[in-house]
Amino acid sequence: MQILGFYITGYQVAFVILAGITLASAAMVVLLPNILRAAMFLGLSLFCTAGLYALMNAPFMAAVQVMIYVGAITTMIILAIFLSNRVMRIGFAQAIYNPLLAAGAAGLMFLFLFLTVVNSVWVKSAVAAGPARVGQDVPAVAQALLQPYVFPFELASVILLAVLVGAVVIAKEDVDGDS
Amino acid sequence: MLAKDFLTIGIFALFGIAFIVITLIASWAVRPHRPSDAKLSTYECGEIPIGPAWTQFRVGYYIYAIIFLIFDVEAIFLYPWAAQLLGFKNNHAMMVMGFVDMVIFVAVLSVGLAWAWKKGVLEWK
Repeated sequence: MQILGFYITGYQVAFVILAGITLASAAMVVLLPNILRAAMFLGLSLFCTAGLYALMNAPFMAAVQVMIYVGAITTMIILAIFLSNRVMRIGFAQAIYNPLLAAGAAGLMFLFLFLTVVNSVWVKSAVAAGPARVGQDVPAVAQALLQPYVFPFELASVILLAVLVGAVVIAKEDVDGDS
Repeated sequence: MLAKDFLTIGIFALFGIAFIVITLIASWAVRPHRPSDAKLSTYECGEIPIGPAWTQFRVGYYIYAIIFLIFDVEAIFLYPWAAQLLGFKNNHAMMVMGFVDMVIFVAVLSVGLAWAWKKGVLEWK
């Protein structure tokens, strides 16, 4: 398809739409006064990120993004809001005390992350390797988990165990107290 | 080709969303508008709601959500492992090692689940 003399592919159209929704909903997360609606837009932003993964021929990453971030993390955040709004007496209003300071901090963080990513080894090796082929990601993840990263993989189970124990220890008292 | 599969999903989602929006607009345009107190109540069937809907949840939900999250992450690790393990058919040692790795991983999480179970966290009181 040709628009204004530029050759535009469907891939580019999909990327612009997905990236646009991702950024717009991310902005809504920061700007909306109601923290619960902000959490909903966080879910939309994370969902569109999954779409971006799918565009990069990484459907496994897209599935992980939807399962963990959209399905579980957003639910956890909403639960945490419902759990804490009464106890902390903060209601559902987002507290933005100093927008300029917040923008400055966000800008510095962006600069730091941008420079880190641009100079990182894995970005250079990924660029050198070229675009991913279809069906490449699942075997690659499995190989990486079983060969070079087997120790971090086992460590992940210990961290998950620690999360479980921590959550039970913190929340159990309240469960007993309620009954 | 993968991109085509996602294009199908995208078009399907687009039509799905458009269907809902168009249906809502059409019913809004066609329906009569005569509100009354009974019609505007939360449950028209007669239940009178007490207090606001946005209240504090019981902390018990949070433990269930955490346990769900933990086993969600476990499923993420299980999937590529399960899809790839038979790919090591020619490398017997690698296959056994991969199997043992996952058994250890699942065992550690099972210990946590058993402990939580014994603690009575899974009981709804």
